[in-house]
Amino acid sequence: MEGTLAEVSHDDEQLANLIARRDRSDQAWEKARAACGRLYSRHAPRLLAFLAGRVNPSDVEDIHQAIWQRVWERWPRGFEGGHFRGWLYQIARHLAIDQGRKKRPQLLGESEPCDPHKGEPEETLHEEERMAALRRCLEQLGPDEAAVVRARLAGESYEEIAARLGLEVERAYRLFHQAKERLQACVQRVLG
Amino acid sequence: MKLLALDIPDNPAELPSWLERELVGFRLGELVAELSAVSGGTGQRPSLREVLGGRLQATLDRGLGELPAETLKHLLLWPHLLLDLQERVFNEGGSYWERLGPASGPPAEAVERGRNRLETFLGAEKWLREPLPRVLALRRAARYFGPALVGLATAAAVLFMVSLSQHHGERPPTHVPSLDTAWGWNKPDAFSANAAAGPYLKTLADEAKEWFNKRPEDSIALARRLTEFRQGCAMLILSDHQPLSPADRQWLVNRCRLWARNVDRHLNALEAGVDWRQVRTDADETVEKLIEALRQRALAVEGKAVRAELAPLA
Repeated sequence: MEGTLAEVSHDDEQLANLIARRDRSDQAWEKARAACGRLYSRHAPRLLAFLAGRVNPSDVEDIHQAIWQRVWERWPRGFEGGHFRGWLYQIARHLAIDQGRKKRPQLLGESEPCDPHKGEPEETLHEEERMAALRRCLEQLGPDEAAVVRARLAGESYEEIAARLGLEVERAYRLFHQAKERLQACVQRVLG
Repeated sequence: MKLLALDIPDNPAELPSWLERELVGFRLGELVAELSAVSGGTGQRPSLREVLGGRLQATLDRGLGELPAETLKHLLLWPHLLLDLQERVFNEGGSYWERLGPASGPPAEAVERGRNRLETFLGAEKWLREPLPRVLALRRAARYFGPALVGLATAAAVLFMVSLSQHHGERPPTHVPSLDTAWGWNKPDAFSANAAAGPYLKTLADEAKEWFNKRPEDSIALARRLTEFRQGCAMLILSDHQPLSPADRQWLVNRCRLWARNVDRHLNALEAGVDWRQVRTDADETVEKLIEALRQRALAVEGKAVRAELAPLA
């Protein structure tokens, strides 16, 4: 798909311009197709990562496909030059909303238009289970262990934790690593 | 299943680079879920702008190393802000972020599958723009729009029957497909009004699975089978799905529009001369994914129902 472009580096906007001129000739079409392939190689991994954090796992690839099809279909009308990446993620965000499968509608940010499917925030089963299992396993730790884990995952250093909880720094370190092993084993057991 | 959050580095100096790699990685959603379960903040969630203040642009240019330890703590305490930040980074992040290797990438097969689908799509698009003599062009257009017309004709027929029955105060009759096409969502009893939401979605998944009951062995048979499947999509889009909540109904219809579009693409590819075996493989993949999506939704719906039942006991 990327074969017909000379091996020079094009920035996104240059590639976008090639695509915008696709209807001029067969040659232009082939260049546009190659440019689209290059943009895909450049952006697909992060676009997939973006979707993975926002839609259900079983929807990620379908929405990803729909984004690229929409990008192609909306050219050159939809993209009038400028920042291609911004345009791409705008499409991605809108498609994720349109499909009504956002895991956390409230994550869209304060300035976003209203999501028509916004009901109760819908975590995926996968992540719901993960969260529930972790909470349950955390309850099984001793109070010091649980407090150290909470503090560490809130970004506190061992020194800060030790001072706050009245522990030796070494002890705080040991408690965390001990709890880490227990939590990992417990979650593994709960989720199979 | 490995817990990601517990890999938080012991040395605070390494926290920014660890978080950066997770931020551009494929499993950020999982990390956010874990952090939320363990240490999520309470009260009104602040915005990214409130937390980063005037440092947002510097962060987009040069990474999290620009942020004081207290700000990083806020991000961990309000982990959903990490998703907001990820979006800003993917949108506007400078070359610093582009060079950064992710902690976890998407599966290589997913990237490859997407590339193949895009190639098939572009192949069909190219075919559609080829100049043709007028008559041939019309014939091709008829073939191209065939699946859409099938859907529209089905929709029109269903609407007509619905309006007719409403006029006579009767329940809308289901369509009466021929025996050959009465499979999957085309069956007269495909959409039961009496099931609970979870089983209803599972039944839809089982009905979709009937796609695999017959394996077309040439392009014409495959085109026919795809057209029938597409017709079933139209039925699904136009039915009222009484057992489902409005949100689930909306999800199903939106979802089905996407599936219908994919089926149209497979037909286009077939008509564009793509090998029927390849198209059948692609179509199989579409159907497998839609079955999986329906089953996942059914599980989520059932889980929600169980939680609602248990809530008063908690």
